[in-house]
Amino acid sequence: MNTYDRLTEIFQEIFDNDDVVATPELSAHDVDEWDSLSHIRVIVTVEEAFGIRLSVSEISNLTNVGEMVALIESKG
Amino acid sequence: MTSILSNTPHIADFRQGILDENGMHQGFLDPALASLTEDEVRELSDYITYCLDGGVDMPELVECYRTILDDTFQEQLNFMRTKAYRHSTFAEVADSVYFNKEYMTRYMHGLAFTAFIWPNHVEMRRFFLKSLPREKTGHYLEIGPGHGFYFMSAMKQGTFDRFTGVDISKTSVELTRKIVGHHFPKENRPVEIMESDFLQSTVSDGPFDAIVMGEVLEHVERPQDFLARIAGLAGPETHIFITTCVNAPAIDHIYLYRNPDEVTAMINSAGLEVRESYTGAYFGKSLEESRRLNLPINVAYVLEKAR
Repeated sequence: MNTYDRLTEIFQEIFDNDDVVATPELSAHDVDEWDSLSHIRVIVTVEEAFGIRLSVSEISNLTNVGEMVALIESKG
Repeated sequence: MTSILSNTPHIADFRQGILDENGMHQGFLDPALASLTEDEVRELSDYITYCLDGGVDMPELVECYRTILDDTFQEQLNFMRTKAYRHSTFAEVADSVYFNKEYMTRYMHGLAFTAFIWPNHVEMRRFFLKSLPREKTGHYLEIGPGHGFYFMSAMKQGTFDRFTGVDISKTSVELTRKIVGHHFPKENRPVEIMESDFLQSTVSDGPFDAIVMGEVLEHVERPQDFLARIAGLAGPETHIFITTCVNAPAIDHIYLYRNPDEVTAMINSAGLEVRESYTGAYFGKSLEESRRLNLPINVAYVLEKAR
């Protein structure tokens, strides 16, 4: 399972929405349920799933899922 | 929503300032503003005007609210990782928050805005105003008035003839005095705002006719002592109103209630009983989901002394 597939699972679970699919262009603006708290839940779940730790500045600078994937893979 | 922005330019500017910094907040901010009543829109606009007239410009006001958002984001991130608040003692947060005038001023203005933007804070304020007795006279006591908004609202809406506030933060005392002075420049009723630790304060022995304590219990090491002192200052007819929060990390929250039942158990063991309550689940979630996922829950109670 690649990073996008794993993120799709995480997003669908957290947003409780099976229609959400992780793509490089996807951002919080595209998902109604993606508010600041669900963003934190995404981050913490990503940290646990990939065994990494993200800093606040790294999290704050993310603008779309493509950047999130690049960040995850840079930590791997 | 469109009419709010076109009719209240201060709110439109404030909203745009927030979204310029944090576009992700739009999905939260716009529905919140759209759900306000006409009176609340006017109060929010008046509060922004009051701040601007007091020398705080719009970018600073936006920064005040952003401070709350950023700090809460960091604390929520820590909470989800650790399942605990970052701090647990008053000493850990006192100097950086309550006794830091620059930060506390920013924090209090930001917190005042949450009373119009964060759905649970909006609902708690509505519950406070709805439950405040309309015809009760006597002595009103507020512990931790903070930004002074509840205190000022009680003076506006209530018919009490004397008001006392107690806050450990000098900055909060100044902010409360300022907002009261602004709204009641010719007030004849006695008003005293004391800078003191409530547990050590020399407020009169009571019984008070109303005791209000909004968002204090989570800021103290032994909330049961605060509830016990309230019970001691209350008579059988005293109107008691308190709010607190569950699983709601903030930069200065040190006492963690893990569910609403812990709050009511503490209330009861202090010799108080719940007469009415409000329980606010996290925005967009049910209470069951909020509990299961350890998401923030806000609670407010009208209490009475146990008979």
